[in-house]
Amino acid sequence: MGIPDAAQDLSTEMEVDAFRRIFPLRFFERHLSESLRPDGRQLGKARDTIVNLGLVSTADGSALAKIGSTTMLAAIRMEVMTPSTDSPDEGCIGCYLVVLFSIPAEAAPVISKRLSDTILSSGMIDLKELCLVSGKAAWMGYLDIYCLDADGALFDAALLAAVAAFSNLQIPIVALNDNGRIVAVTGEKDQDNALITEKEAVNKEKRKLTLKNIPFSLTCILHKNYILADPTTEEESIMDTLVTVVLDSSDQMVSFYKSGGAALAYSSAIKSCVELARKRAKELKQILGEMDID
Amino acid sequence: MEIDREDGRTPNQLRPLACSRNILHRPHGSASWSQGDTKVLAAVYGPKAGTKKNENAEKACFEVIWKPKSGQIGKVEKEYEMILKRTIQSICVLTVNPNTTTSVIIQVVHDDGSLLPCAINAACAALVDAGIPMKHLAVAICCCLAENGYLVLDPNKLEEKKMTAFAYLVFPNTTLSVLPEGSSVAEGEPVEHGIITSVTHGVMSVDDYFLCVENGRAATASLSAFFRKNFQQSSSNAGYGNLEGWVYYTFHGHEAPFIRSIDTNGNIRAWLFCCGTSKLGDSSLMQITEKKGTVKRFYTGQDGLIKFWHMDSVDLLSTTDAEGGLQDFPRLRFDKEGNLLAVSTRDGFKILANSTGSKLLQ
Repeated sequence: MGIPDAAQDLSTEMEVDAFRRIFPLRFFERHLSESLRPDGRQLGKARDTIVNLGLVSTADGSALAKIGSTTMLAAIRMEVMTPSTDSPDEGCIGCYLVVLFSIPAEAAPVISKRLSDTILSSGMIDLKELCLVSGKAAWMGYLDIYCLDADGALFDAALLAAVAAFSNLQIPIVALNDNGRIVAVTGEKDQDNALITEKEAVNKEKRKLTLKNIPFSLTCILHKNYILADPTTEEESIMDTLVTVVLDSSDQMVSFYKSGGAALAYSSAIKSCVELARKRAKELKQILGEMDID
Repeated sequence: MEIDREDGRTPNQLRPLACSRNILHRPHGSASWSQGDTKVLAAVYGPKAGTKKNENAEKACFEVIWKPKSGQIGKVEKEYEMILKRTIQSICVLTVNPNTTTSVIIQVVHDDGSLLPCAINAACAALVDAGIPMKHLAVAICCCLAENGYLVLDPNKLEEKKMTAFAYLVFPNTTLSVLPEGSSVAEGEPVEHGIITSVTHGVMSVDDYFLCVENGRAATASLSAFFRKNFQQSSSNAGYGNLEGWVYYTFHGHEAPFIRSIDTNGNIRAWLFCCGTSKLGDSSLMQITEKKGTVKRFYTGQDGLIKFWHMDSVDLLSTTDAEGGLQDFPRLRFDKEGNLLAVSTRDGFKILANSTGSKLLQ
């Protein structure tokens, strides 16, 4: 802290950009003392969020989520596999985060693991719905998330994209042929009329999954006694204490994730973060609701 | 809220703890920590020169390698590594050794539930054994929620499988204060109530989570006491002769822990602050020498002077500038046997005191 004097002298002469680069923490704290952030947001406000569905036609379900500049594209492919012996009536979901650029390499597997843990433990998807023939065939969903642009709050955007993709998912039509294997039914009428009589159509038509307890997340930064919701990369790099709260639609806490960081989380901070997450969950529910997703 | 646990423990009771330090020869610090049957070995190498590519060169860097008992390293291990790394970064003082890398290697010996908290505790003990400067210890506990809503601490593997949700919580350790105003309070709660790290699995209500945090905090008191007792046991081993015990004291305005050094005949005890950043924002290295009942305290701060205090008061006893030549934030160190006290200067170092008393050698 031997720098304050130097900053006082230079700050009057320096340009804003230079001050932002050289004294980033002081730049932010000057804004925080006025309850604002450099991009003009209030402390508890998240950035503009957009969700688009069905962008990838070759995937069984896809969605694009954009929170500010952070852009995540989620795509789901369904493949048939044999279920494991201890859960013969259930399918499974595998989650993979593909990083194109701008995320450090060690963050990607952690985010994808957290994402798959959150989706599975929230109970959003009933794995029994993914069962085709008990003990013999079940669906495996490969969820691929592509990070097209990373500007903070990666987990939030990834979760939103994943949830939207699952709501957009349509399980393809398959039938059981005489070898006992599941094959896809392509839907060409003249060929299939003959074939379908032999095969037993397991899925009569494309169906959607029923989603209950959709999880919504909010990442916050704790810095002294300020709580900043939905940080950008710049904010994350300067103030390193991140807390992610995931709540589901019935107001249960799916996850409270805080991993180290200079600031400790006291009960008051936890309560405020949960409140902010509740508000955010309402906003996100509304955004998804506008696209006819329940 | 009674629930029957298979091993007969009460819901808030931890399994038997065991910790041994300095068990491996090559690493600079090592510790094994076991809670019941879960056992984890931690080894610390470092600090070594140089940081990794994208890391900030003005701070010390940590890398964690997690080795499972069997099988390949997958996403689970990577997540544990990241959680451990960030937890260690938040408890260690990163500015003392800038541009260095310290490696922490965790080897799982046996997993019988509550693995990540066990690993965090082991890593902490190993860092203490290596003498890495830390602000406080990290005390980790696993708290889980059963189907009927009961809360259980420190589950074993069978219990974990039956739980609907669990939370791994890491708190700073509880400290003993010498001076009453030494206990630090932030935001109306004692510092040790803050959460360093929290990872939850499974769905629980918000109130249940707060209940987990309460129970976890209560358990940290017993874990901290165990740490304290374990570190106070001195061994007459000459290898790390001067880093053998920890006693935690907080002084007015300073929060860093001590390392205690005991020489072989137990006469001279040197108490070394493992670096501190006071609330006033100065960085200082503090040392205390206890000789035949009088205790003195040294403090070096920004003004290049070394100040002495008597341990029980905050008044300045005397100062010396050791004939000048001291840098800002000089480093004070004892030598290996605890006989000489040296301070770093611009051109090297000067010997300040030797074991025959508080004579200052100029």
